[in-house]
Amino acid sequence: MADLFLTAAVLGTLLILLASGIWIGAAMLATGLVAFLFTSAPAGSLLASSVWEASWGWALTAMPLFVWMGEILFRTKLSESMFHGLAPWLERIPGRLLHVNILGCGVMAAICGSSAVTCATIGRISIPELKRRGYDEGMAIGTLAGSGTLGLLIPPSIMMIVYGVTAQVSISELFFAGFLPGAMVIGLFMAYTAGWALLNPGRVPVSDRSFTFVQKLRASQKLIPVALLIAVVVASIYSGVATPTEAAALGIVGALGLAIATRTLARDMLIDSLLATVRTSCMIGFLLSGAAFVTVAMGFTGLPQTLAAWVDGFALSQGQFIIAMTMLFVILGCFLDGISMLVLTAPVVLPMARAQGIDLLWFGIYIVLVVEMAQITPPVGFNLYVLQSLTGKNIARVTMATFPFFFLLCIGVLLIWYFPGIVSVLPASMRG
Amino acid sequence: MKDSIRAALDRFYRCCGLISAIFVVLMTLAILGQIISRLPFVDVVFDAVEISGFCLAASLFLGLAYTLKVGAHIRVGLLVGVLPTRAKRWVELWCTSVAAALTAYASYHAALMNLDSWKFGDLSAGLAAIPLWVPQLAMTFGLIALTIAFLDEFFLVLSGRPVEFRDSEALDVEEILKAPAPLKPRNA
Amino acid sequence: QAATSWVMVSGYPDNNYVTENIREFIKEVDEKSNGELKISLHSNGSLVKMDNIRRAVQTGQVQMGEIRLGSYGNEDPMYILDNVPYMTKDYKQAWVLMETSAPYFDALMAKSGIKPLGYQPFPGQGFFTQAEIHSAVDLHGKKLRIYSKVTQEMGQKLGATAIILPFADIPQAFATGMIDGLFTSAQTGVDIQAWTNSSHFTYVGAIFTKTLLGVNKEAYDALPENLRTIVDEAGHSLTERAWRKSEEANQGHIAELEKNGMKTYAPPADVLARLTSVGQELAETWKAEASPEAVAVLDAYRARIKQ
Ligand code: NA
Ligand code: NA
Repeated sequence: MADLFLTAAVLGTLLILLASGIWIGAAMLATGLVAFLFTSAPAGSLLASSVWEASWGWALTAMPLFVWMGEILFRTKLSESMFHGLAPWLERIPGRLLHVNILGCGVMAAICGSSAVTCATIGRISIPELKRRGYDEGMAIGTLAGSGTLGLLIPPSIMMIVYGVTAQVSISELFFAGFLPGAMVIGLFMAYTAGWALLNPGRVPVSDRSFTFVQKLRASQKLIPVALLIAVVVASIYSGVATPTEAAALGIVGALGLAIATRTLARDMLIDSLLATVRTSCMIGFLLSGAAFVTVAMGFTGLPQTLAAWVDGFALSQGQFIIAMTMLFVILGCFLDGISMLVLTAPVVLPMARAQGIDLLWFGIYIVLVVEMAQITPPVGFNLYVLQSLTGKNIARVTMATFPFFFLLCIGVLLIWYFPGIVSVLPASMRG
Repeated sequence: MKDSIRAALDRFYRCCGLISAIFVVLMTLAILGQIISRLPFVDVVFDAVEISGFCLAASLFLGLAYTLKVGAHIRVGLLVGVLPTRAKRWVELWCTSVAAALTAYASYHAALMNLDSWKFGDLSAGLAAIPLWVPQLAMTFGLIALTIAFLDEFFLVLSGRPVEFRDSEALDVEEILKAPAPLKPRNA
Repeated sequence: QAATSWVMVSGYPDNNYVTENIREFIKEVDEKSNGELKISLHSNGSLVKMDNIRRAVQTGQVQMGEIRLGSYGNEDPMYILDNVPYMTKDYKQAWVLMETSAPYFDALMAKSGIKPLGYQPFPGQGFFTQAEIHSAVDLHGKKLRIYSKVTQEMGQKLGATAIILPFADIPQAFATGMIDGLFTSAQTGVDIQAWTNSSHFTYVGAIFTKTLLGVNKEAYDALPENLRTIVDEAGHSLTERAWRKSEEANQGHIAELEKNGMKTYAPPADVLARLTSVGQELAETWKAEASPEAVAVLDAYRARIKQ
């Protein structure tokens, strides 16, 4: 009974504050304080110490560093070359340049941790190009909105760093766990696009050009240094030469080198990139502070254990638990962005997942996939906003065009459920 | 008078942002230092784990106010976004005052903890033995600055500034889409 | 009936003998007090992280905590006297050192408003390597992962290269040759499945670090006298059990290393001699930094083990 009251108070506070538009980090601080009313522990002093503890971990240092690396690379104008660099390679595949959206986002994803930004950066160039060449608009929208979400799954991923810090799972392992699922999603998207193109031959314009291998290389020469840089960063983590944090620092050096090589490095550019980094990492820092306090408050109330026991009472199988979680996340995902959704639910959901005996590494990749779905569900779905602004179509039309890709992500979840090896093979090989 | 306060506050937030940025750079340098110290021909033991952690904390806290003022802290604007203008103003007053009260409370307790660390002479556990009150000062200061920023927002709304509910990612995307090529996109 | 409920925190995982022993302590208090004093344990740093536990107990955020003494060596060398190699050769000597230093810790902790109830020793440590260590020469140039000032100095005096790494990065660093040696306990070796990366464990013993079970003094004083007695007694039995359990756990872990194909053995004579002399040097360094009262504890301890 007391627990019911506590649950209602905590959930009520959170929902009212969130709905009234209070900054999510602040709403979590308030929620924690309300939870502490039900205990005799000193809330204020625990607020200070938990927020402090949460903000200086070694693992978290990777977050601003990867953000900064992305910010520098952005400003080297490489995204401008993405379309023309990739297009010549994809002329022969059914669906042709639609695949540029998918692979372009995949490459962009390896630089940047955000889904909407991945989507906007690629889409800004590719949507006008595809339109000019007479491609089907629905597919142009769908491939872009869907593939933009890869930013979260393909390392480096800010989402994975936040999850790793919250769930105390190795970030290196999460990064490598994300690789094959990332490739799997790219594969699913490309297969769907190719299949669609074969079924609708009239809606894909005919190829008007052919390229020799040398021409292809020349077209994508600007992408090669970036690809090498990403490969070096990733390889240095995988081979153990560097921890993710150290790899990020090396990535920054590489990105600065690239900026010098492309003559885009300037004082203003450097300051802009740093201030953008500050904005993103402080935004996440505020969320994490709130989450740390809620976690401690929950620990004192014992609510997560009660809830976990309650869920246990239903004697759900792991599969049923995952189905229930997926429904919860899909609903939440209609209203919240990914990182907020993750940090808001983590204090309660992670103990439950642990109690269900679910591997937290696998669960991390699962959550990233579900958060990807949230990016393309209305009304709050950032990738949808992006496509709306890019195409001028209304949100309903954009959502309809994107729906097949939401469905493909669901298939992705099913695949990692039935073949957990997709997630675990690479991290296990890294352990030696 | 009013204008000079406004200008001073805006300079203050930007300074906070720049100092936060400097700590990102220091953190990068510390970590690079650790990588270099580990090279076989370099005979130094340099432990960046604590120092970079403290730089991170300093950066995260000192940048809070700046981040708020550029509108990058995340909030759910969907529901209140559809309200009429008058109602929006009331909601924004509620949001900023609650947030200011919460961060003021947090600042107060951060200051108390900071004082304790100083009084008891707490030292970090690692090889560097850094007095904990030093990095904690960044937390106290950053939270106070955030409180000031929330209060500032409150009074701006009170004095009639139009209210917009937006979130950081929408802001980023807007900027990327608006930008003329060559872009200056932002990450999130 | 008005039962008192306390919150207790520990940074060690559930399966660690330290946490298991704490659970027995809690059970003893519960039974002897007929449920008058309930203690709920949050282990694995879930509520408060390891190095913050002392402050959490001090400020009354929680009533009790398992405090890792080694974290505070920068503040008072007394915290890391037991980190000096061969300061204590075995569990018996570790017990004597614990007894001799207890009054000092009582006074030291009292300054922070904490009352020590008991101590738990960690098993001795050793080298995890990829090849057998036949003599001290084999340690030369080894990239050895260290975790503290004392182990850093020890590593360097043995001619190894000291490498600092966060705990979480050890398996990967080992797998890829960023480090090729590790100085830690058999327990940690089992935790990180050391056999996947190394084949030999040279069990040195040598370092028996301790944790301190502390209670917030105000909370303690607020208890009726009979409960205070019960808590004190439970603390004593925790300490006694700890010495036994620690040794058993250590043997169990060494056996597990062997079961997984690792070769475990005592250090060769010249390594032992070298470590002992390194220990003596480090003890001198320690003396130079410690307060006269702390040095007096060391002298008293040495006098007692000579008898
Ligand atoms: Na990414
Ligand atoms: Na959504």
